[in-house]
Amino acid sequence: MSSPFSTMATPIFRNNPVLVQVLGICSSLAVTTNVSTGLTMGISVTAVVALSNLILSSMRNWIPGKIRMIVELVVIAVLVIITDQVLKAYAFDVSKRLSVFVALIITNCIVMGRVEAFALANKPIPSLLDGIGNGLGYGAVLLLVSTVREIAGSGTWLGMQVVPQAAYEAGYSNMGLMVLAPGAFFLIALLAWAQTEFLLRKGGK
Amino acid sequence: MLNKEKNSFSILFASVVCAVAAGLLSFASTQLRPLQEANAKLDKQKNILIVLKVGRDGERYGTEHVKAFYADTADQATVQKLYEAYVRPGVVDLATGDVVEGADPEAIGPGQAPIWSLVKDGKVEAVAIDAIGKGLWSTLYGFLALESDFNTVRGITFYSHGETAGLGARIEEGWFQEGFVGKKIFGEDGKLVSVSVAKGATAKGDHEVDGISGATLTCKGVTGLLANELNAYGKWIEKNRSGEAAQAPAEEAPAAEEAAPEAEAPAAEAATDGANQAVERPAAEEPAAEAPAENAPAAEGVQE
Repeated sequence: MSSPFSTMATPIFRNNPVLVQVLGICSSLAVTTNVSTGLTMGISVTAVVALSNLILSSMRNWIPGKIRMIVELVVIAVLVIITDQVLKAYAFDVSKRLSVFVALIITNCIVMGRVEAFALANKPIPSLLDGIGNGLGYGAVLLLVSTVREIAGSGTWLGMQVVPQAAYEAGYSNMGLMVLAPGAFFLIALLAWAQTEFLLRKGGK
Repeated sequence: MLNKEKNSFSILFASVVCAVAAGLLSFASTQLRPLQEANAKLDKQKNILIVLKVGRDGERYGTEHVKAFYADTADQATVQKLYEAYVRPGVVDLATGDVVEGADPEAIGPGQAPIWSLVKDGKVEAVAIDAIGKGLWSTLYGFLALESDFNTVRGITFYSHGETAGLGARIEEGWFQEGFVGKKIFGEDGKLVSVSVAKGATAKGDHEVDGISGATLTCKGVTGLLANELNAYGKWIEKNRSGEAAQAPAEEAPAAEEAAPEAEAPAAEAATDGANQAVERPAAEEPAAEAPAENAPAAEGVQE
């Protein structure tokens, strides 16, 4: 069994759920037009993966094989609905902009994937760490992609003006591509390439 | 000892899981409901102010400007202050078209509908009505605002819906909503024709706005719900409209002039229309001249 630290750190860098396992791409494209939605989504997914891993791992010896998937889905769905409700109560504007994507965490492959691949075979604490690691790995990609998209596409970062007004007056204009989904496709592909080229290859040899 | 592989155990296990899940969800729901309701109410007030185009100082601003103001700058206190200062909620009896005196706008009875009047210096400058109806996947909830001539559209917003993100959900965007500003709900002959969403970016004349490509069915929904709502409110609109026309148009003129500097084309249009209501319209010359100017910014929006 690997150390707790590497259980958590591996999915952030070497085995990133988005860039290496290619899970959760749909929502990464959709919620990264600005940093506030990307960040909120990252935190929400981290909470859901971590808690569902923890809960299902502690139940793993009790879950009957026949209804394993259903039980997993019930636990994940409950966590997602509670997350959605909390966001609606405490971060209404962001939850409005995230629209259906919070509810769609239920179908985010990372959540189900980590439960099936890790939590059902490991003890609760490592499962919790694995969940946090994967959530943070997903969140880190969202943060990177949304940072580039918001600065290039809207000239702001977390709503603060980054590109000075003088630049617009001198003829600079925002990059419309970055606001649309294809912008995220390009960025995620570039990140995946950089990840393989610089992190994995060097580490592998 | 329980046998894990037995069906009875599976059923027992599932029941326990479901009971716990149900308990957690009801607890979360009851605990968070007051906060959520307060948020939803604030959001509704924001959208009423947006549709009535009330800016930071109560003056009229453009669609994008007010949207950005309420989305980013305005805090709860500002919204409530502006709402209380300028917006007067009311209730209309749809069958007779009369305003129900003393009715509670929070508790709308059957056959009644809410209105929100923008009142400045004791004069009604604009009114907002519900714009609720079926989209493609979901019910669209929004508001439609009319100028005090009860003919010219002042604005439209949608505050809640479940349409496809990136397609139908673009009804929330400023460029689409801006297209409605200055359109007319009554035809030349004085009949109610409403405003419809054109398929593609081909809007012509006073009763059509540019559509959203890839969202034909949501746009159809918008067209349908506007026609429905305007019909439902028809008696009340008709009453106020004829009332306005009977009164001296002079009363209307200063209000339109006031709005003119901020809202270029649409306000100018409202002014000319007010004057033309009594006189005959000089044929089709006017709309033809307006059409290209109006289409240009909207078409740009689509390409973006």
